[in-house]
Amino acid sequence: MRNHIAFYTGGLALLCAAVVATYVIDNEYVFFAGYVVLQFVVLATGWNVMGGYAGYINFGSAAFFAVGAYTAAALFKATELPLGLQILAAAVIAGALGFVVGVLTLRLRGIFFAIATVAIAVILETVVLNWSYVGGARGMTVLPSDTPYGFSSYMRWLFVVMALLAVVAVAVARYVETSWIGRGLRALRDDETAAESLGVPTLRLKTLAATISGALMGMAGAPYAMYLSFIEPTSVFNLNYSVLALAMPVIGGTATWAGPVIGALLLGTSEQILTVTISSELNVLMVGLVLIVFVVAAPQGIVGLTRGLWQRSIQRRRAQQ
Amino acid sequence: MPAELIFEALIAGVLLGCFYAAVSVGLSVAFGLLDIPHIAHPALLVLGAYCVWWLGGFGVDPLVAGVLLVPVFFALGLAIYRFYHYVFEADGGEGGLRGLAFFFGVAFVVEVALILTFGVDQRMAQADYIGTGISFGDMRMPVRMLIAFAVALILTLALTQFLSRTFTGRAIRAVAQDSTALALMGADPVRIKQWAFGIATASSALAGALLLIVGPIEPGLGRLYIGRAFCVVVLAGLGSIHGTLAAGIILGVAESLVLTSVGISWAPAVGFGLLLLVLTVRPSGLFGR
Amino acid sequence: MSALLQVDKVSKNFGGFAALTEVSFELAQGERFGIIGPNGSGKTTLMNCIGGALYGDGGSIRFNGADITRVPAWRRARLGIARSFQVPRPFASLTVLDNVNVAIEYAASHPHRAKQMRDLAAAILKRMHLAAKVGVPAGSLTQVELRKLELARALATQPRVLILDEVMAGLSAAEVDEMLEIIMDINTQGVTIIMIEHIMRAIMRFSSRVICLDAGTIVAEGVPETIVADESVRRIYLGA
Repeated sequence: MRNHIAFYTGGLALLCAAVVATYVIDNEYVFFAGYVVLQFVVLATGWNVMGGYAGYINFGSAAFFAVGAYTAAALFKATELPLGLQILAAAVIAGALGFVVGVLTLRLRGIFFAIATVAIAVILETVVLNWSYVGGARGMTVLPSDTPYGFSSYMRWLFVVMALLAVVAVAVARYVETSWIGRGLRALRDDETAAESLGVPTLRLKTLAATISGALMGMAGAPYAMYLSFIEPTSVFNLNYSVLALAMPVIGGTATWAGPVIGALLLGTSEQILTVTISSELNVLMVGLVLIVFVVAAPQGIVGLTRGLWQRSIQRRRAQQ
Repeated sequence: MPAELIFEALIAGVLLGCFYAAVSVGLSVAFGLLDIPHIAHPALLVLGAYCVWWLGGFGVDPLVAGVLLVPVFFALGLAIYRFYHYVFEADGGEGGLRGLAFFFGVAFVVEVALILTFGVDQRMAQADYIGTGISFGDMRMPVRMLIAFAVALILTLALTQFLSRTFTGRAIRAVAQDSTALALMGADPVRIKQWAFGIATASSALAGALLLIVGPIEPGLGRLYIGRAFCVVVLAGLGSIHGTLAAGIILGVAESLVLTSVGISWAPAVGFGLLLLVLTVRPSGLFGR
Repeated sequence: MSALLQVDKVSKNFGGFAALTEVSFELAQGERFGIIGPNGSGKTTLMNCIGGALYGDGGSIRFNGADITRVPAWRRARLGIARSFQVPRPFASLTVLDNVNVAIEYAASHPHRAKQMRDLAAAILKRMHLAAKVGVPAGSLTQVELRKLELARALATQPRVLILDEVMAGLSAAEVDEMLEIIMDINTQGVTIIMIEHIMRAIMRFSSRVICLDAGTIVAEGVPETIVADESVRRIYLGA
């Protein structure tokens, strides 16, 4: 119980800090960059629900991100829906896509599941490329509505919205992880037949996890068009999103909700710095190399590494006494 | 659609399909036979194509360059498998999800490294036969497609023969069925897998030359070929080398027909669509073992 | 008295190979039922059909009066059919305690309160002599401990029928005795037991009724004494 209170107080405090920052900090770029980092927190957290807890690796995360972005953009074009409802709709549609992917797990595991997610991403990209309402390959311009009262720029408002989404995403992931759902998912990740024989409804749980995962990743992409005032297929379906969605949890550690958050903050921030100071290609090259290093040498991620160090130091202290 | 258009699409599809078979045959060995989640195979293919293009800058013909690169890629394959085995297989386990993430990372790094070295612009092969064509009655066949077809056919058939006739080839097939039995016979399974992976990678050098001959290349091309190569391998049935040619032709014809009837912008989805269909409907493939 | 479990003409084919051909038997509440037979005679396939890991190609299975032939495994676990696997299948990355908790949490027909769940898990692990290992990842247990965990997990589902697939393989004579005692104890609390075993001494001492499978059919059925004396069983086991 004390854990829950600490967690939600922390979340609320971070949100308040985000709002206060929009009044205190002058530099607009901070919010521009901060939005991206927070967006990656949401994306990585969403990926980890399926990839980390259930052990089903999604290589097509960009599709969920893009479906969220295009759902919001298309709805905005059609009805000028307010941002909150756009995000909700994006989560519902991306969640539905996640549901479909979840049903695929009935027959597809391991590499086959992973390739199927790549396939879904390419097929959806082709569909959007040929969808003239949203501009096809040329994309479309989206002019955001008025800045809400109390915010000095639309960018600052989006920053606070993304901070809220990040807190919501982490809270959802943490609930899944610590509840009966998480225990069931970890059990089926280790052995589906054994889990099934002990009463775990594996297909239902996997579908639930895939739906939650998809909805969160869709949420991450929902404000994209508003953020750039423009949306086109190649940039939202970009492989980078799929790689980062996987690399961030793997580097942070896939076992707990803290892993993806740490990975996203780390990679997201270094991306913002490297892209500005050196080049964005060099940054993605670094992401790929760091991913390989962690997969090879530290599969438990940063969380696992620090936990290992912590336990060793406790043992050493005990040995000294 | 007029009959002659369909006929032309069919012919073009068969030519294209043999090329797809050549692109996939290495994956069929690495993934189908050895069970290695080698999602980086298409990236190595594009790497091969770029090496061929680079050698073309010194006036080397693409096909010659492809042959020259075979030993280099063979060695590269040996090295990759050694590393993979040391990290993921040595403790008796299988690569599993970590192996998958590893190869995904490798594919991504290769793609980005290509962008950093060669830029994102498309590159084309330099050779006399590019751009020329031969006419058969009313039909005009590009020579580059005919060359790709012929070399692809030779490559695929040669590998099929190698795997069924030679001692090493049979050992590779045996290692897929039962490593322990092979070890009892005195053969080292790791060594044989290493050889097989080397051969699979070496085939990427030749297939990469074909990739460059068939059309312009760009670093991101590997992603499209994930769909095509895995489609062919799964459609053929895992480990079914002789099914590769038939599966490649099915994909080639399907793509060619979609291209003529619906338009080029839908072509990329064909391989992936067919792949999804096969995975969900008949995962054992058409010629499954 | 009506039967708790009715297996009626269950068949199962793999490709062209008939693993089970019209196998039928009935179990009453509280029985100790032994299944013997040579390797490949279909014992484990039969258990997979009863547990729900496989669906039979023909025949039907009724449990407690209801037809469960096409009911998925996880529902059967909730109805009260539990099983251990021949080769232990632990959740390797979960702790021993969480292995048991999953079973308590998911197989329970009624929701457990946290305290009840803790007490139940502790009691089961103590009974299986795994209390010292609660916080250890299951992947690091020894073979003997894994077999105990396998049984502990099955017990945690609070079953009415417990299927034990060679739980005593690889145990020492003393450990076999200890295990038998535990299983007898479970049985006296009203749990019906189906035991597959190669250790003849154990299964004949334990069972109240035994069937012998060969090539997918039942070749003999009866109390242990008649089974031991049976012609066909002797032929299969002694080659006489």
